[in-house]
Amino acid sequence: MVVHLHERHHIIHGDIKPSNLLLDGSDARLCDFDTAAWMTETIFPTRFSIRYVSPYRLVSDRENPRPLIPEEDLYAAGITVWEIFVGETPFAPYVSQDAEFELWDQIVARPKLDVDRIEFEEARLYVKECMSIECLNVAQSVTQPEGHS
Amino acid sequence: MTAPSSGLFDWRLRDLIPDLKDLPPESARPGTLAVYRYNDQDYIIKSRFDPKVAQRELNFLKAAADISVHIKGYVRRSEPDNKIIGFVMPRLRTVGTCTTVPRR
Repeated sequence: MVVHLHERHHIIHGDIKPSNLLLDGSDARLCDFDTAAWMTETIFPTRFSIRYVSPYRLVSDRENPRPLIPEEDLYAAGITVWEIFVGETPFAPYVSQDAEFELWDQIVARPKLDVDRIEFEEARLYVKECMSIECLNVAQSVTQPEGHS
Repeated sequence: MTAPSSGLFDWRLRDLIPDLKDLPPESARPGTLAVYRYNDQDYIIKSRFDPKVAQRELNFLKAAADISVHIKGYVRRSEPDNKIIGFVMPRLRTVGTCTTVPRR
């Protein structure tokens, strides 16, 4: 569905997560295009769902803003599939503000979701693929500020 | 309020407000979401303060109509210009998780 959105409609959703995936009979349908962008646009998201964003997004800040890229949808789709098949909230639980900051650190440091907990092989391979998208790797995509080496 | 010949609702927010029911805040940001019951059917009304923002989301929903939630109609503001500030969606449930299905 995400690839179809990108390749057929040239849209990046920007907020893929289970609550934005609705069931219409047996069909899944996307909603909440608040953060969406056309592939031809360059936008810098200021709002996102922390559990479903990649490290690429989390290290984006005012000094080094990062444009929304389609790979972020794929990463979020991977976490979404993990949540659907494992039945747990990813990077859970956190409720307090303090805990949220701890979670932030974990995500920036590329935490590993335990993909092997997914029993269905096709889903497991899909999530593994989504989690290993090269350009979302923080170490490779962090831009060094000028004057720093 | 009736559906026009196009089959899509064309409602004014002012007329809907007395009957709107709020959704939990978590699912109502940043657009305002509310439940509206019409002819024994629940709909979700999503409205925005800025017509441009509402129109932008509508453009995405229409462009990806084959995989996005169906638009059942539009919501307009009365003043000053009758512009569309929201839309009507069916009330659907979100995907569940495997924990909702008994394991073998």
